[in-house]
Amino acid sequence: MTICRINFLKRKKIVGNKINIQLSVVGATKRFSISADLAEYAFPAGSSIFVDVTQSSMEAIRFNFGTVGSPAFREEDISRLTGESVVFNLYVIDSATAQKLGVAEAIRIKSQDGKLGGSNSLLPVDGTRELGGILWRVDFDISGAEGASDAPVLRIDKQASLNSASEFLNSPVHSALILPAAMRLILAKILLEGDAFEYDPTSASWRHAWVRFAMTQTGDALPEKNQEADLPDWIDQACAAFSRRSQLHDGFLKHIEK
Amino acid sequence: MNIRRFNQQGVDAFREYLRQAKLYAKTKLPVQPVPVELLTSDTTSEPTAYVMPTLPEVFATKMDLASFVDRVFPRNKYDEIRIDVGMWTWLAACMFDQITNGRKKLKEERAYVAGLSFQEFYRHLVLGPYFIFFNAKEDLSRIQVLLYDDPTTMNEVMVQFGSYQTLMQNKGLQAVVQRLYYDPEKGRIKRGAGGKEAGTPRRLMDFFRQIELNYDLQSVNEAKFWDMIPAEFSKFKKA
Repeated sequence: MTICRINFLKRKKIVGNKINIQLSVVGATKRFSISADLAEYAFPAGSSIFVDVTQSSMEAIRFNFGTVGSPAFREEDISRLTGESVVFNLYVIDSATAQKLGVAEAIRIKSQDGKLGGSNSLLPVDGTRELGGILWRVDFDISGAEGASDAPVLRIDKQASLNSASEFLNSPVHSALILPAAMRLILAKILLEGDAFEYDPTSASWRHAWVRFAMTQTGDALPEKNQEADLPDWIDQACAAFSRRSQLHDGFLKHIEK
Repeated sequence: MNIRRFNQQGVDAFREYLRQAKLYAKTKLPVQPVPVELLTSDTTSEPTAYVMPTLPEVFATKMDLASFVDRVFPRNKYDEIRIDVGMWTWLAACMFDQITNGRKKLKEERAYVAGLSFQEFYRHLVLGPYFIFFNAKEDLSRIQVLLYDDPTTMNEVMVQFGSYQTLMQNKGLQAVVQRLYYDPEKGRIKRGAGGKEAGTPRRLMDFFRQIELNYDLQSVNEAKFWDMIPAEFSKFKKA
């Protein structure tokens, strides 16, 4: 079902490809640089540009990058944010009224080699905590698009991951065993727990983004409203399709054959 | 004695102590103090560079506790210490009598074993008050409503706003919450502020989350917030 959205305040969604964020991590030093092309949105020249950098820990850091008419983009240090799941949100704010004129949340970042990085993916990973005897788990406690504070993060035990969850998941064994199972947990939380889920194709929130991702894996839409009993099967098929398409299954078999 | 930092073995041992303590409390048996070896052994913890002052027997309020802890650490070490979960967990173990009213009021594990996510840290009975205190040090009057009560538990305002990053870093919002819900004459939250009805902290949280979609709350000052608050909060605005 398509949901009609009414935007009384004319807040504009800034699309990700208008913003370029580079994150560089060298040892304990973490810096980012940002640039944005906001010309097509016709924001008033005096509107302020803020970037909030958040992470699953206690604090968010805000940076003021000048105004739309006179932007002051530059490199900034965010080493005080620990963990790998850093989230960037850019806001264009009317300085007089504090209204949000433009919003880009949970912006994808580019790592130093220019490829899309994993720090702000659909499933951020974090290897900075000891998990008390288990190797991994999915927590729902980080910030995400549209003001969510319960977005999923894949946590890998600090000792097991040697502080780098993304390195840990580079292993074909680890990724094949963990990722489809994590995906299943997340889809089950969205679709099988709580109130009935209504998919909104225009929403950027993590729930809708995950269902969108699952649909691209299976090629099938969600079961109709009166066919909720089919949801567990649909989830299984999506996870299996993901595992096949990402060659997790094959990668695992090749690895154990060596 | 220097403040120490639990290693994983120390955290596990403290968790086990907490589990046992809860069992004893449930069966009305006296809860034993945290074993001295757990606090001092090199197999469960290592010393930090900070010296632990003599602990008072009780802290009347979270503000007193936070002030005590704040005096221990140099200001320029904040970024380092705030994420040292092993140390915060050790501090909770060391101050266990003070934060459990002599081991009589035991809360859930996360009140003593520190976590760093913004949904965890404020529930820790040492790190939570310290974090709020440190970040409002230049004007503590705006956070009395969060730290006015005894250190063994969380009051309703803290429960509602503790995990709200926007409030924890926003002076204007803190000042509004203080004005709305704190009764300076009685030194506690206003009557009725602990409920679920119109005008309560729970409803204010809903209001913040709603307006946050269209307003940048960090750009709103105290006076503007005050004007924006809807009529259902008038009971607390007037009181």
